[in-house]
Amino acid sequence: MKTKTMKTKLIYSVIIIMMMLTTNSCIKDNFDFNKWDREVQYDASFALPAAWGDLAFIDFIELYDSTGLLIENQDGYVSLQYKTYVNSDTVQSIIYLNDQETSGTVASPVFNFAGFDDFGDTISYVYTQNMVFTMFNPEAEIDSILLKTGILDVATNSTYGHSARLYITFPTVTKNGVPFSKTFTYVTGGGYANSLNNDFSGYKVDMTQTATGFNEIPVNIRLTLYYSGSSVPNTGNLTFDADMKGMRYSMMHGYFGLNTLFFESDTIDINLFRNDDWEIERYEFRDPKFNVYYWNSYGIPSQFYFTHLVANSALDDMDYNIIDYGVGLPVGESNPFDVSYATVAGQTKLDSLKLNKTNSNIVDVVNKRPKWIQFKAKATTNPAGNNHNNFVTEDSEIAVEVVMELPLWGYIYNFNMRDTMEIDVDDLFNEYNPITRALLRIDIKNGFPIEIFGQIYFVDQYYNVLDSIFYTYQERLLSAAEVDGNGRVLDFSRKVTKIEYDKERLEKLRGCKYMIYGGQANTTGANVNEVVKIYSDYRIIFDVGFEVDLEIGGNIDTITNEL
Amino acid sequence: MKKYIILLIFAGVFSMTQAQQALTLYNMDRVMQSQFVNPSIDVPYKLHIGGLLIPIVGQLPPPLYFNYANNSFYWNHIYHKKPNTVADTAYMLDIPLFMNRLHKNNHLRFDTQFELFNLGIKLENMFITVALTERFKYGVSLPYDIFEFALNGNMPYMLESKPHDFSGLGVNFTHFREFAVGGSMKANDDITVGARMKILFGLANVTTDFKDFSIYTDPEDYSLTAVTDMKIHASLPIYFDYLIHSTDGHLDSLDFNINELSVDAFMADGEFGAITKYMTNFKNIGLGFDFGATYKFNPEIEFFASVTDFGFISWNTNPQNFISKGEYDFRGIQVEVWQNEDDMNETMEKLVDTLFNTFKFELIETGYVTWLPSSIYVGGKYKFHELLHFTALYRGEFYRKTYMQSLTLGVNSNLTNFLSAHLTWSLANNYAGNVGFGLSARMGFMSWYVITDSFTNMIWPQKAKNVNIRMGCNMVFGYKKIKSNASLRS
Repeated sequence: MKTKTMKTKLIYSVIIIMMMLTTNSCIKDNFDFNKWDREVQYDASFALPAAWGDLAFIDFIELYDSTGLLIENQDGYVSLQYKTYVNSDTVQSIIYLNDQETSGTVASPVFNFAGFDDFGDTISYVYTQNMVFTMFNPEAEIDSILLKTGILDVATNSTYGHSARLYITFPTVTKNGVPFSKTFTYVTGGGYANSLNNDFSGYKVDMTQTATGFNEIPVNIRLTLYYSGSSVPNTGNLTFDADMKGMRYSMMHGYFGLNTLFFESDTIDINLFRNDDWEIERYEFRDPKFNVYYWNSYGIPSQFYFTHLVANSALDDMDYNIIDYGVGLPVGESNPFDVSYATVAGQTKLDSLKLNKTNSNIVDVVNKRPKWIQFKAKATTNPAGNNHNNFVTEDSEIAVEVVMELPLWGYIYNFNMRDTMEIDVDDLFNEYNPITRALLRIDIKNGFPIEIFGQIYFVDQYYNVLDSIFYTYQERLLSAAEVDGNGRVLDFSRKVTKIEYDKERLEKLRGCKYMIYGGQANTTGANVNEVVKIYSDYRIIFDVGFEVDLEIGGNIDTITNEL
Repeated sequence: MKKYIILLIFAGVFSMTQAQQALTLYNMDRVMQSQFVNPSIDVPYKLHIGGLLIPIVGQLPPPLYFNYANNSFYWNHIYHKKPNTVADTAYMLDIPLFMNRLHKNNHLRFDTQFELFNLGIKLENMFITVALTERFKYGVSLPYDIFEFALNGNMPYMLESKPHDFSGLGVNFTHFREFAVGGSMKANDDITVGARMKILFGLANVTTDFKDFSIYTDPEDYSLTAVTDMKIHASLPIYFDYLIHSTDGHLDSLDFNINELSVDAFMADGEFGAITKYMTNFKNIGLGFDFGATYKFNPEIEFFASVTDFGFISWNTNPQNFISKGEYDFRGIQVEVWQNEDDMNETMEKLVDTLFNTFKFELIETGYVTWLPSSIYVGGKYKFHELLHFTALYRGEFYRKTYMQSLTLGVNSNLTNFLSAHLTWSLANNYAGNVGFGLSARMGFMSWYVITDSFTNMIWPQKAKNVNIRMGCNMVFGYKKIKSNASLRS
């Protein structure tokens, strides 16, 4: 009995030990990653925002403000503007100052040497000569010049045996009321005496003090001889030469004569009709305008006229003249425009000429889809003849701005564009692409009276369509905002577009080589010629987000290697 | 380098060691430590002495308490054997099961205590105790939604129009020393009451307080709304440099580094000096209380209740409070009418700045207060036989917005004058497989005890939500058998 009990205890002990060992082994396995089957499975779905915007049309206006492409016009809605700004040659190249020169000789016969025979005796000769200015225009009669820059060189030579002194004075060339004057001294036996690079900056030149009364200034000459001895002959002469060089004026008054200011040929590109990336089937601009603005800071009566003003049509590539119905569009020399001119220095006069649908053929021209407008122009001064009230300043100019304004009041029907882009979709077909579904969500609140149809086609190398982004008409459409009777938007039109790609749909893109994308836009009611107005406070609000389903499944080592 | 090694050692000690769970100990009246969870317990010795500071007795074994608790999952909920498989690679990662086991807030908590000294003296009608204990509490809290977001994405919640709530996210680490003086006495023949007052000396703390941290995905436009109301508090021997460099409101860079000067100052007197400085820090004072009461309903039935760790610590050593409060609606990149690349870059910078300012933590260096995770115990004892008592114990604990509960049923027996044994089953940490035991054995004046609330979890750690052990040795004198009124059945 006792043996049996011992045996039983032994068996139980062995069983318990075996169980403990087995249990221990099992526990270890629970923490042994070598026992892991290496299989992973990860499924997650994320929805995230990508981008958003709340863009008012005014933002675009501000963006293009520097180029003036879009403006808020005086009626409160928006205009497309195409313009160019040209000015004539600079005033200093039309009305300028030439280098001027005057010279003279004082010979001994002009002196009376009687009593000139003792040391301390002096004799003088004084006279005035006029320095005549050669002007930019033979007709010009200049009264005064305020010099900005200029230098005067005076060269003299005395052959008198006696010592001498020469005084040259320009009594009407003054600075702060002091005339310009130079003195030259000669020793016994004579010699050269020069004064170079005398600065004339800031000097006022009065040209009205001679008998002629313009284009001249008097020069006072005084030569004094000092007795130098009985052996010194009373013969000889003195020559002088005065050169005014490099003169530029700050201001000039007088009569400037008839001058012609040329405006080089210029072109306004009208990209709306010129751009090859899009086409427009039909459109109307209710109130196109063609404006010419003049800025004149010349103090000279002037006339302006176009010598060439045409619009080139994108329809037939023909040139069409822009003509007015008697409001004075200055085309041709015989039909100039009297430009207002400054009456005081520093003033700039603005003048303008405006063509619209009632006084010109601008509507017809716009309907011809003008790709560009080209013009050449001239301006002439003093058409009425002599007038000494002319003035110019150093920066006087006549400038012209030509503006083609297309107020966004009207309609556009079938504005369309299309383009092709090469794409590579190979990565989408990676075996371990973890994306099983992707959805792009575009939420647009359209505050513009414009409906848009968009589409993207995926095609193979032979341009066979493999798939398109949208399948239905409704998917393609972004409705226009509703408008009231005046063509003003009443409320937003909202559209939520979802573009979803799952694995099955993605398979359609296999072999895709190109993406052809295009769109079409119409203003509200354009099909029945309903007109709308685009105001600067129109807005478009959008949110773009995406959903993506991720799935990673399989052996982690394989996935790691393949990724 | 040495400085960092010392710091790492500190960190290591902390990582080994964090509310006190004593489901089996609660009814072990022969172990003086049961007064830690119910100060009204009547201990049958006239004198107790124990703790690490007591030579030899204090080290055989060292008086240690360790508790790991996870309220939601165990290892096999992540990695387990595939059913009906015997292959070499028979184990699998099981994310669906893991997700299924997660709770709203998932707390992984640790609590470690070293008793430095304890003393219990029986007076006329009173039992006085004095205890000095080194306590470490640490843990991490992970909200369900953080796993939901990472493993399932944000779409499932988006479709339900509910936010991902990460406010449960948090870390907590506290090292403090507890000096407790307690007493229990009979109020009358039926009621015994007890209390312990504890002066707490905080030594190190890092804790988070996320009142709000959520991300809501709008199902309409997928925009993300993030809301934060977060605080991170730290009181450590060293402190951090936190500098934000910005120009004209734009963030340039952010520095977050350990302040070298504080490290140098801490290590100025060498490693031993640093340890001494750390261990003798009395700047962070706190106060705590334990209360308990026992009611003898009749000779066979007792009821008891206690509240433990009701208290706080005021942290004043290098206090740093990182506070973030904001709300941000992210709709993606804002598309504007950019005139040039600079404008576009400016938009991106604005986005980064706004994001940063939303989550930006402001640093405030003022003291702060942390509360201890208090526990309440309510239970009863049925003395079926002098040697066989049945007990039931309910425990509740407030921990980081979560009320944790457990229920323990026990069989207790003071088998002999020198040996007592206790067997418990607990429904704790949302797990019903906790079988615990306690054993107390006395040999002369030496009284050993070893207790666990879940020895089954020690055998099968892969299924452990709770690992719990308490052991130690007390010197005991003057055993007086407490007569059981159920002795009539003996």
